[in-house]
Amino acid sequence: MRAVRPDSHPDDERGEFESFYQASYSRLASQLHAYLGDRAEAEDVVQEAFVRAWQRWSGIGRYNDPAAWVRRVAWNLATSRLRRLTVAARMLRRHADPQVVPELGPDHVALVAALRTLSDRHRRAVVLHYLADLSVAEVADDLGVSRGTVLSWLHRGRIRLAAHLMSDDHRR
Amino acid sequence: MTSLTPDLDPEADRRVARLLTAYRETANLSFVAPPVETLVARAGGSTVRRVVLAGVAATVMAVVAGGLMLALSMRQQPPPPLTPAPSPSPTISEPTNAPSLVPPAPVLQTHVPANPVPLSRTPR
Repeated sequence: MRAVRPDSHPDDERGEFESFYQASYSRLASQLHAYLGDRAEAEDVVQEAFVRAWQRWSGIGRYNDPAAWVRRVAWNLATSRLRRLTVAARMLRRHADPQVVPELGPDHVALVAALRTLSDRHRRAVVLHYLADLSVAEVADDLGVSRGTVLSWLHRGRIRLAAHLMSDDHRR
Repeated sequence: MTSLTPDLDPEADRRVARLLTAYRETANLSFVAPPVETLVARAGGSTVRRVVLAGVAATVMAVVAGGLMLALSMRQQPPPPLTPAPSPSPTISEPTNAPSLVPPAPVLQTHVPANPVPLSRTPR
């Protein structure tokens, strides 16, 4: 795939990319936040995925579903980031100035905390299916497993989430 | 047969479904995309970082290759003598009984009887 200099995009390509970016960023960031459990890391991997899309936009912009490409890149980045969350990845932290954004509500925080108790594959399946709106078949394809396996992971994930949320309620 | 996974508690499961739906529909509102110029700057930074890393890698490779070449060329030269070689003495002469390289010529032996029979006898 050809890497393009960032300043060499024609104006129409840049406008097309910007529309796509503005329309897709928030949803993808919220999904990755649910998966990673860390807002800054989630925004960082999503921005990095869009940077890569921007560098190859002359090709990716012609895809039927460019969002799927960005989502896959972001999830791959998140998976490796999750493995080495502590050290070098923080050096590539976001360049954007801190912005004032609405905080997550208590229910969202509780859900993210509950998701963190799931195993990686269960959490990934739950987020992709229930939050990213991918079908079971799409999740299976994305994770390289069968549909039955995905259904099993979703079932176990919901059981675990329910147990954690109920015990959390009892502790309060 | 006992199931390995317990059944879902309907009430708890409804709560999970409610939380997931609420998150899907509203959590994205708390994530604001930074200006696209930020991405462009970051892309430029990525490009510069890649170029710098490639330059560093090329330099390291060149230094390593040069070191290897130098080590190999030093290994191919004969080692210098540890002590100076003794100068030949002018008084040494060739040994007198040195074996000759030319094999000795074969000696032809003729059998000579001690009492030779006269070739001709005169009968008495």
